[in-house]
Parts: sequence; structure tokens; C-alpha cells
Amino acid sequence: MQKEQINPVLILLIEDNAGDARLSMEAMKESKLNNQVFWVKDGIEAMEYLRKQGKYKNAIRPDLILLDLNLPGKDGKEILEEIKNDSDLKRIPVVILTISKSEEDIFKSYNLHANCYITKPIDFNEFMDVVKSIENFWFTIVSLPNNKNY
Amino acid sequence: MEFKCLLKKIDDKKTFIFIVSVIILLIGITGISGLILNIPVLKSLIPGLLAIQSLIFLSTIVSFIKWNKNYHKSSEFKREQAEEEYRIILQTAIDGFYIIDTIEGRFLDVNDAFCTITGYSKEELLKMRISDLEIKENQEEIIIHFQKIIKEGWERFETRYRHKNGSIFDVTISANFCNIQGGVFIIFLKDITEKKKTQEILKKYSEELEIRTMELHKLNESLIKSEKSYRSLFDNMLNGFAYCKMIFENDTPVDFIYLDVNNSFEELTGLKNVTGKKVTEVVPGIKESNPELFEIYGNVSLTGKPYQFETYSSQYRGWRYITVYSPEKGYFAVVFENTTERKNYETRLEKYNNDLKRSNEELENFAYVASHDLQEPLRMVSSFTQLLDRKYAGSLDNEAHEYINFAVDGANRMQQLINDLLDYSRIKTKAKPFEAVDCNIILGRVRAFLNLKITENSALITNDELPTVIGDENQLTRLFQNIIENGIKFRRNISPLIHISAKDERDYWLFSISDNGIGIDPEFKNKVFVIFKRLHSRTDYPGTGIGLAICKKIVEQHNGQIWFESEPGKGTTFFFTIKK
Repeated sequence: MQKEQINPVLILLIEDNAGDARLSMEAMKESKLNNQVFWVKDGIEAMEYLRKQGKYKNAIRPDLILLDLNLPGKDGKEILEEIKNDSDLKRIPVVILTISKSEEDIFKSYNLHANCYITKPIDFNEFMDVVKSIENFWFTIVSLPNNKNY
Repeated sequence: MEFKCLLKKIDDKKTFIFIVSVIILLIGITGISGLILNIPVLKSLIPGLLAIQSLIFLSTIVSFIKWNKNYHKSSEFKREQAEEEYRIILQTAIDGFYIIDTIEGRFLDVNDAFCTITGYSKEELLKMRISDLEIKENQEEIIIHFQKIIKEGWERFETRYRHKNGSIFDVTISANFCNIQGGVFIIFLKDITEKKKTQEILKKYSEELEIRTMELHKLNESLIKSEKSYRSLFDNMLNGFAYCKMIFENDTPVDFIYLDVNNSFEELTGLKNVTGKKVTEVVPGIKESNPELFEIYGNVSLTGKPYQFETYSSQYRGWRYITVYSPEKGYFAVVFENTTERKNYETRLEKYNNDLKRSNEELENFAYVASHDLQEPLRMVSSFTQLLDRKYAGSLDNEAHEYINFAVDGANRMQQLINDLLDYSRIKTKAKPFEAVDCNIILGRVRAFLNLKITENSALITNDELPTVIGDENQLTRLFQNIIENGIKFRRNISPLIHISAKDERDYWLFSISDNGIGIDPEFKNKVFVIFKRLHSRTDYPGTGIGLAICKKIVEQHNGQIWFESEPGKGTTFFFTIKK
């Protein structure tokens, strides 16, 4: 079931590591889906974007959030908690994409209502495949609520 | 014929006759001297004197006859009286008395005491002979005694008689021979059985006493000897010793007096001449600084239960290890040593230990964090070189591809090393509490893990029945897996054969895993367990060289040892022990 994509889907990538962010974006680029990735480096910027504050006054609501746990300042779990406690933002699926395999991180993330948890594969090719499959899963298999007009 | 023989005749007649004779003689002399000297006065008196003399003589005769008659009358009476008295005395005497004839030894008379001593009545005895009481073995010597009595008139000796009830008793006999009625023996006897018994007991006691005295003497000698050696031990031992008497007030130990101390006591405490003094005098303030001492010493003095403890004394600024015991209620003895040095050493050791532990933890933590953080940049190197390769595959020449391959391979190996290092550090940091682990199950799991390799290499893995040990299941799985995997990996050109067995060595299990592989040169004996140490080129045998290092760490974690025996070209047997 391939959906007709008129507007590109928007992915908010919250990742402090430029290399990882770039790799993710490269993987997205290889994807057949019409997508757009917006990358922020930390939690504060992420929340500003999501809440359309400051320079993000005209920001577009993302369809999916890719969140790294290991972030400077406000860490991934705090961001997750804020998003999931926000009556409006909580409907945006949050995919935890992190290097951590820690059971504690997995448990806590789901406890905070993460939509899924993925450990970044160390191998390049695997990584590319995983990122592509995230996109594929969330935009071609899953049905998401339509609330572009917030 | 009864006591007559004993009666003394008082012969007063001799005196009487003597007086009368003297008077007659005087008168006669007077008359005769008048005739001879022709004294007229005296001559004239002769007829008168003769007449007086005759008269006196006559009257004397008459009165003598008369007196003699009376005398006989009274002596008869007195004799009877005396006889009665003696009879009473003899009858009531405590000592036995009897008279026997010298011919047959028949009893002629006995007293009550003799009856009591022999158990027979007087009537019975008077029908018996003395031989009826005698004991056969004594009879010969009795005859000798009686012969002596006849010869010398008396004898005193000891013998034994048989009582009516059969019992034998000892007597002392005092016998006299009296030549009346054809000869009789008059005998007094005393029952000396009790005396004899007492004597024997006394003798026994005295003998025993002598033995005891000797023993005591010996004991005393050895005591003096041991006392000397104890004293010397006491004086020379390095431990301080004090013997004290506890002082209680209302059942509360309040003080104690030093009764004896040794040289070390003085050396260790610096206290001199404490004997006879109270501790509160000798060490002022001890009650405040160490109140527990009084409680402990008081308790030991009362219960007699020894106690050991270590205490800090502020007076001596040091630690003491004290043993208290009570040789007698209310008293106690302390043996103590100065443990300040040991205590300081212990404290230092504890500190070093903690430092080492912390350092180890930090190191492990460091290894974990470092390897974790190293992953990230490495992944970048690896990923972007691969991205480069992927994106510009068409526009790069072969050489460029080769360079990229080297970079990627390097990065990947680095990654593997880091992962192995992580694993290695996790053996300690991620260790789980030990539990019972069935090694047969572990081996089954390892077989499953290595299934592909086993099939590919046509390896045969056999095992004896394996025990259940106490350990970390994951770590033990890793241990078996690494060694078995090595056995397959370092194979010769024949099918790998691997055998696992275990032996009960009482305190531990000895496992052995033997293979028929290429073997290990003995010169590498100490190197194979070193982390990242490889014995072969990566091209021949891939791997980082962590496997056996991890095995060693796991075995050590289980308080065991690991080693191997090998013959190059034939095979290797790895041994490891797991403590029970």
C-alpha cells in the first residue's frame, strides 16, 4: 500500500553528532520517499522548533521525530517526556535512535511513551538500511493522524 | 578349790609368840642373874619371880590358845570376803579371764567378759576346752607359749581365737601358772581385734602416707621445676600479663588490684611497681576512658568465661589485644599484646585495598567508557569511507577503492578490538551473582552457538558427564565457547575432534578440553592468555586475540586457574579449575 505523496513528509532529527545526522540524512536521501529532514543539535532547539518559538516561529510541524538519547544539556529522555506531556505534540511519533543498548534506556523510553526504540547499527550498510526502513515503516505502513493545521 | 590359792595368810602369830618369849626370857634372866651375882635382893625375889613367870607363861598359853582360836575364826571370814571381792572384780572386769587345767585345757572358771568376747555362755565354756577356741595354725606356737609359762611362771603373748559365730579375733594373753589342783593356768585376755584393725589401718595409712609424701616430694620438685619454667616463661614472654583481684561494690565492678605482673607488662604499659595497687591509682582516669574494661573484667571474674577483645587505650595511645580469663572466682588474669603496629598496618592495608579497589573500578569504568566513546568517532570513519565508496564508486579508480578498503578494514578491526575490550571489562563489571550451573546444559548451548562452524569443519565434539558448578552462567558459556571455538579454528587438515571432561578434585572441579589441532608451541605458554596477543597472522587465523584472555579472566573470577598442555602438530588440552 503505497501512499500518494503530494507534500514531502517532514522529519525532525534531534542529534548532536553531525556525522550521525549527516549519515541519517544521506540514508533518507537514498529513500524513494519524498521527505525533508530538519536537523536540530540539542533539546532546547528542538523544543523551540516544536513550539514555534524564536527563530522557529514559522516552523512546520514534523510528521516524525528521530531522537537521540545522548544529548548535551537537556537529554533525550527529558525531551521525550516534554513532548509526550504536551497534549498537542504527543501525537507525533517519536523514534529513539541511539547508540545505547542499555535495557534501562529502553525501559525508560517506552515508559515515557516512545513510539519505538532503535539501536544504531555500527555497520554502515546496516545503518543505512535501518534508517530507510524507519522511514518506510512510518510513512508507508503506519497510518498517522492528520493534523497539519495546528 | 577356787580362789584359796590367791589368799595371803596374814601371820600375826609370829609377832605374838615373839613378844611373849621376850617377857619370859627377861624374867628368867633377872632370876638367873640374881643367883649368879649373889645379889641378896634379887635372890630373895627368885621364888616370887618364878611364880610370876609361871603365871605369865600359863596365862600366855591360855590367851594364845584363845586368840589363836579367834584369829582362825576371823581370817576365815576375811578370806571369804576377799574371795568374793575378787570374784566380783574378775567377773565385772572388762578384760576376759579364765582358768584352765594344764592337762586337758578344760575351762575351770571364766568371767562374763570372756563370755562376751568368745560369744559362748559360761555354761557352754565350762564344758569346753581352750583348744575349741584356738585356731589350728596357731596351736603349735600356743603350746610353746604354755611350756614357757610352766617353766617361767608367766608369759604374755598375742594369738587369735575363733568366736562362736566363726569370726576370728585377736587377743593379748597374760598367763600365769599356779601349781594348785595339779596345776592350772590363770589367764587374762584382751580382745585386740579393733586395736589390731586400727593398727593395720594405721599401718596402711602410714604406708600410704609415706608413698604420698614421696609423691608429694617428687611433685613438689617438679612443681618447683615447672614453677621455675613457668615463672621464666611468665617473665620472659612478650605478652603482658597481669593477675588481678576484682573489687565489687553492690555487685558492680568498680576497681581491681594488681596481684602479680610480668616484665612485659611493665614494658608495654610503662607502669612500675603496680603489685598491690589499684588500677584507678595506677592509671588515673581509666574508668572514664575505658569503662568497658571494668565491665568485661568483672563479668569474666564472675562467670569464669574467657573473653578476647581489642581495645584502644588513650593512656598508651595504642591498641591492645586482650585475653581475659578467671582462674578463681573474683579474680582474673589478662594476657595482652600491643597491636598498635598491626592495627596501623591493617588500617594502611585496608586503605591500600580500598585504593586498589577504587583504582580497579576506575580502570574498568575507564575501559568501559573509553571503549564506548571510541565507538562513535570510529563509526564515523568507517561509515563515511563506505559512504564515499558507495556514492563515488563510478568516479574513483581501483587504487582509490583499495585505499578506501584499507581504511574501512582498519576502522572495522578497531571496532572489533573495542568491542572485545568492552567484553573483557564487562566480565568484572557485569558479573552476576553466582548460582548453580549445569555444565551439560552450557555445553549444549555452546554446541548450538557453534553449530555452523561445527558443520562447516565436520568437527566432532564429545564429552563425559559434566558436573553442576557454582558460577556465572553467561561467563561459563563464554569460557567453554572460546576454548571449543579455538579447537575448531586452529585445526589441522583433519576433522577437529574435541573432548570435554571433568574430574572431582575435592575442593574444585578440574575441567579439560582437548583437541587434535595444530598445538601451541611451549614457548608461548605465558603469552596465549595475554589480551590481544596473537600467535598467528590474521590472514591465517582471523581474530583479535582476546579469546583466551577472556577465558583467563572468567576462570579467575571463579577462583580457579587455567593452563594448557600441548604438543605442536598433535593437539592441545586446556585445563581449568572451578572452585566448589
